Amino acid sequence: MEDNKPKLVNNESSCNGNPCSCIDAQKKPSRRSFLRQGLAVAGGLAAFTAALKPLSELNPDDIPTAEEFIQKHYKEMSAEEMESALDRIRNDVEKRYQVRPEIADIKPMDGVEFVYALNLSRCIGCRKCVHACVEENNQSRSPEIQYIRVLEMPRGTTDIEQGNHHYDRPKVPSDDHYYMPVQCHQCANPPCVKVCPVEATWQEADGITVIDYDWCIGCRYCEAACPYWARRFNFSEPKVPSEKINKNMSYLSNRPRQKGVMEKCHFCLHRTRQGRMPACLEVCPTGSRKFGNVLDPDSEVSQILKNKRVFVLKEEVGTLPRFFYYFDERYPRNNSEGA
Amino acid sequence: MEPQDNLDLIIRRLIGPVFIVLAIILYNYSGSSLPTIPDPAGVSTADLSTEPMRELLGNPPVSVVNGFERKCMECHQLFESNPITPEKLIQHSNIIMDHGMNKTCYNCHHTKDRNKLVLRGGKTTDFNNVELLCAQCHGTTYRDWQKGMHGKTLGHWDIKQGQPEKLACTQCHDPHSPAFKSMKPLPGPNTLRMGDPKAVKEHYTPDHEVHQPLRTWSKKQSSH
Amino acid sequence: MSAYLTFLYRCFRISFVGNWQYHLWMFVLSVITLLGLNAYCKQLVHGLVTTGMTDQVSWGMYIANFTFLVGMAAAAVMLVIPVYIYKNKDLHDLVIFGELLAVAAIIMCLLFVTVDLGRPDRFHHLLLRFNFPISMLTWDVIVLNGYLLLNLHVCGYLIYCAYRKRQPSKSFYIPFVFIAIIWAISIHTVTAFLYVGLGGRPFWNSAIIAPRFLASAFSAGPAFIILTLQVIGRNTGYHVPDKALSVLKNIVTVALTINMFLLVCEVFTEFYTDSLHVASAKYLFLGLHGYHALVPWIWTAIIMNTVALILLFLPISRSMKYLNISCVLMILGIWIEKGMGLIIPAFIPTPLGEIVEYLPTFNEILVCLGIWAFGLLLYTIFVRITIPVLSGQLVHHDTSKP
Repeated sequence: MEDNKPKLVNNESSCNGNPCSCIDAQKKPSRRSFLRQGLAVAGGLAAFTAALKPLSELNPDDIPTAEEFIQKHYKEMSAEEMESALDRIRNDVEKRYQVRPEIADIKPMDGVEFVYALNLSRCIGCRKCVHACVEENNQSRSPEIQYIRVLEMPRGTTDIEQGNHHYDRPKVPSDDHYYMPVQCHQCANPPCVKVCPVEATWQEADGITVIDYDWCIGCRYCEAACPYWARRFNFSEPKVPSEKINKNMSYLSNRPRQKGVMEKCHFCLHRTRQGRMPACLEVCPTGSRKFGNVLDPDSEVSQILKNKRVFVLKEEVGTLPRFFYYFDERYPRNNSEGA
Repeated sequence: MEPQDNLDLIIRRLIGPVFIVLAIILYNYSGSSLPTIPDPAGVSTADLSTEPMRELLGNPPVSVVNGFERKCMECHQLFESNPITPEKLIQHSNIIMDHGMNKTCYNCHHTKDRNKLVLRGGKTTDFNNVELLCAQCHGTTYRDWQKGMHGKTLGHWDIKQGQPEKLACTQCHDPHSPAFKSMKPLPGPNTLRMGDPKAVKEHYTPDHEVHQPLRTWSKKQSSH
Repeated sequence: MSAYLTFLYRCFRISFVGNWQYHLWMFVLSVITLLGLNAYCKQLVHGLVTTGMTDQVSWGMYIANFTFLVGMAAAAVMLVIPVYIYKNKDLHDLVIFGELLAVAAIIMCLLFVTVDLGRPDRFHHLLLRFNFPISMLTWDVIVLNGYLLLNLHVCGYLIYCAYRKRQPSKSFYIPFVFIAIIWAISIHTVTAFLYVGLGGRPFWNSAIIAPRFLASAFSAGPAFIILTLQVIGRNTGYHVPDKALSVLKNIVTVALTINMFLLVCEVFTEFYTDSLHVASAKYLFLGLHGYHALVPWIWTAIIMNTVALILLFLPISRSMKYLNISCVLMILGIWIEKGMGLIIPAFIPTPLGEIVEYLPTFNEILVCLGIWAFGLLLYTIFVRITIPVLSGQLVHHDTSKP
């Protein structure tokens, strides 16, 4: 290091009261240079403050309150903490949408494991399930979030890449195609749960993979991990028209979300955990969708798993989906005549 | 350190003022210019009704004829019907027969009592148990329907909390033209950003022409 | 303690001292940083819709830059190996420059991850409920912050000792240096494992990603150091030994050769097999179903890397000019290949086969530039402090002695 001394100064550094030879030795500044430096500092600070100006447009509702900030993870909340969180949500929703919701934290039922079965011979691709889901679950209309995506597949292949997401025919079904709706499969070996760094998403006892919207940090790793493109992110503040708000909500399912968090299909747990059917099934005109408790051997879905040739998507990825597709007789037939 | 040359002086003099200008620019142009978010799709509540596709006519069935509600036997007690089903019906012209091989009225309807439907071996059933008639030919479908594997089941999946509501066959299928009716699909996805359809149309070429037997077959089927 | 505070204060003061080129450089970087800050504030207000990301392509420029910079940070340690393992004393001082670059790069990485988060106000959730060891992101949080602390400790200790004219005690820094060598490999491997473990993205689900990461990091990082050392040599009085540049050049040549070989391996595996999993690679290299936005980028990157490699093998690269050209080409090529060429194609097509292309918005680019400018600003300040301390121009004055 000895030969590396720069040539800028010629003394060794040793003070002993002598005039300082260090590089940052300050000579007394002239008034001009002092003013110049002062202006530079003031200008810099002004520019910094001006850079932060957009924050003044921040919606005060978006800034988390102290209570929200210290709210615990769902699994750690006591009953009182949950109740006060639900209260906060009631007030929030009422303030934003002028609708007082009925929200509860609906727990899973014992001895239940939900399974969904979808009959590809019957689905006609009408997309009613997509839009019923949107209405039921208070999803953002603009930007659009839809949990279900219906693919129009050509006959003879299950290669998803050949599916058409944007079909728009005068009438469905089309003769050459079959229709495959895809939503979250609530996998038994979920890659999304594996990758979440904060455990904001986990699988409950009844098989539903849920998201705690108040815990998610929005890193979108789960969205990258899902092999079925089932998860959605709120890139912007979700817009739901007030008159379309569904009042019956649950903490883990369809309460309105805020920007910056993930969401996805949750098998309408606010309905299904009370014995009812999910919204997508109720609206399906052909009855292609079947839902129930696979642990009950007499349920519809158990019968389907026993008797029909079911398959799952991307079985090789090892996710063990709880969403089974099957064909039974023939592809849906187009009948353009008749009422 | 005192400035040594002109350039040095200029640069140092400019720093302050340029920062101030930057501050002014940032302050005034901090308005948001969001990307255009697509408009929401228009879907009416009627599109999302969970009601069955068809309304039943009742048991015994009541139909509207010339603006009056009529029961079947009101006419059929008085008139003799043609024992052989004609090619084109003169009465009941609103009925479209498209039931495959099942073209004869009396395959299902009783020749004397129009409030009854016929089963094998001379047995009859009424319009509340249509499924027994349909099951005569569509046995496998009936077996699936009984187990809940065919057709829509509304209500509850958990029988302890409520009853499942099974539908009758004719609540989805027109018995004379049973194939499920096609309909206009609801709007497709309109996400924040979409692929460019034009790119696909202009430049799409299949990756390579691979002989896919099944696809060739299906194309042939649909071309008649 | 007060001596340490004085030291920090003097470091702060000396950051503002320099010639006009220095001031101009710092001023430009400050302006860009402020513009980036402004753009980020807009993103905080409106959400990530101000970026070009969508549900289909949910990771974009931020994660692309993050990936590249983790490599740079890891490569800074490449200087450490010749000095401490091969006992090459000539390069002793360069270790500090390398580790300071690592500090600046890691801070940039952390900033890129923070701006990518949808809810940065929930950062504390990482501390409260940490899905370690199952989630690779938790591993990444640990190794990146650990690496930052390691390097801060080593540099801070060595610089402060030089400031105080003390001989640094070996036990305080040598073990950490060795840990840093291993840790550097781990930070990039863990970042690679973030992507590799996802079965739903066949473009990433390949064993070759982690070795490619390391090979490209050890090309771009030392290349960057070659360039910065020349800048330092020219603008301060500090003399950079030629031996340093030739050692770095050898490292870069080997690493880039391995990188290109691994590229060939990857391309062959994808295209010869020609299974359905090759869709993303097809999109990247050839275009898919009429979408081809990334094709010119990746081919430019490959050409740049090839030219850089050829230049390195030719005797012409003994001249600084051609070595610099090679370095610049290499850094740009690897930035494209690792950023856009790795992150974006995995999302196209989506797991359901939809193709939505990604184009970063102006706001997003400003945030990226702001973070880069901030990182360069930090690194310049670090160098600005280090050289006077190491050369004895900035030392502690013991005013208590008579």
